[in-house]
Amino acid sequence: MSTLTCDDVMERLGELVDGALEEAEAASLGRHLASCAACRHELEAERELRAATRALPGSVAPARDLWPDIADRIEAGRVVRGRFGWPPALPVRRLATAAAAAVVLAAAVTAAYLAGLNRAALPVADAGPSGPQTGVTPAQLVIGGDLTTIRNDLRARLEERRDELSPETWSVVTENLEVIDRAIQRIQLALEEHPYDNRLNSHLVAAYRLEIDLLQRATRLPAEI
Amino acid sequence: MGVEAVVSLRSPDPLSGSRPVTTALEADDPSLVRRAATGDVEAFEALYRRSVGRVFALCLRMCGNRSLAEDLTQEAFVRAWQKLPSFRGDSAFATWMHRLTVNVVLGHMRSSGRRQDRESAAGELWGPAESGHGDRPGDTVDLERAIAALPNRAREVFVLHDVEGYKHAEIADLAGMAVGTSKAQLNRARRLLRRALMS
Repeated sequence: MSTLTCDDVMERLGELVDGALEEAEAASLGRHLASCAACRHELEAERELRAATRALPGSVAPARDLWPDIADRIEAGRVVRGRFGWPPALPVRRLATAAAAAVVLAAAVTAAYLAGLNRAALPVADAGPSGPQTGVTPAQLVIGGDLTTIRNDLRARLEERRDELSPETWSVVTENLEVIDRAIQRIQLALEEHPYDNRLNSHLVAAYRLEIDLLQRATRLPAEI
Repeated sequence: MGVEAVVSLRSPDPLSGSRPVTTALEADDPSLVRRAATGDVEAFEALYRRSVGRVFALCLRMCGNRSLAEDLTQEAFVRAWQKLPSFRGDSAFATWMHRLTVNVVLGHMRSSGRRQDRESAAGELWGPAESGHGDRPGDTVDLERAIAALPNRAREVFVLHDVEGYKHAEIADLAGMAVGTSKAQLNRARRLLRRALMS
C-alpha cells in the first residue's frame, strides 16, 4: 500500500468526515492521521466547520422590506405588458367572465403580433385568417384530457424552439400565454363553485381553444435567430 | 417586517367584499399558490412574507453581496409571480421557490461574468445590520464572512452542497459544470474556510 501524503489526506478529508470512504482507504487515512499532527488539526477544523455550517440560520431577514418594489414590478408588468388585473371584490363568476375576455384580448394581441412576423418573413404564407385556426377537430375540443394533452405537447414544442425565436417574440408569446393560464385557472376556480354553469364551461373550452391556436401559430413561426 | 406590518399595509375593507388579509396569512401554501396563480396579489404577498427570509439567505450566501442579494431576491419573486400559472404543485412551493432562486442567482452570475469578478468585501455582507441579531453566535458571523470571501465558484458550490444539501450531480446540472469540478470546488471551499476559521 502506498504512503499517503498530507495533500492526499486533505483531498479526502471531507469524505472521511462524511463516512464516504471505503474501509481500507479510511484505515489508510487513519494511519496517516495517527502520525501527523498537522492533518489531525485539519481534521478537527473540518469537523468544526461542519458543525458551524449546520448551525447557520436557514433564514436571514433583508435589511429593508423588499415587497413594495416587488409589488411595483408586478403591477408595472400588468400594465406595460398587457396583463390584466382582477378586482378582488368581484363575484367569482364575473371574474371568470373578465378572465375569458382577457383570454380573447391576449390571444388577439399575440395573434396580431405573430401574423405581423409571418407577413414580414413569408409574404405569401399566412395572409391572416379571419378566425382562429386551431387545427384541432371539434371532437378533440370537447374532451378535456385531449385538450390539455394537445396544449402540453405544443408547450413542449414551443420550449424546444426557444433558441430560434427572438427575445421579443418569446416575451410576447409567453407573457400572453401566462395571461391565458391565469384566466383558465380563474375560470376553473369559478367552475369549482358553479360546476353546472354552461357559460363557464364554454369560457373554459374557448380559452383552451385560443391558447392552442396561439401555440400552434407560435410553433409554426419561421426561425428568427 | 412581520405579520403586523402586513396587516397595517393591507387592512381589509369590510365593505369592499375583498378577501381579508388574515385569510391570506392563515391559509396554507397550496391554497395561497392557487390564489396567487390566478392573480391574487395579497395571496402572493403572504407567500412572500413566509419565504423571503430563506430566499434572501440563499441569495446572500450565493452572491456574497447584500445589495445584489436584495435585487436577486426581488427578481426571484417577480419571476415566481410570472411562473406561478405553470407551477403544477408537484413539489412544495418552498422547494419550487428555492430551485427557482438558485436558477436566478446562477443565471445572474453567468450573465454578468461575476464568477471571475468578486466585487464585494466580506464586511459588506455581514456588517452591523445582520450581526446585530442578538441570538447569532459570533462564530456563525465569522463563518458567514468567510463564505462571502470565497471565490465565486467555490462559494456557490459550498453553499449549494454543504448549506443547502444539494448533491454534486444536481449542482453540476444547475451550474453547468462537471461533477468532478463541483467536488474540486467544494474541497477548495472547505480548505479555504478551515484556514479562515483557524486564523
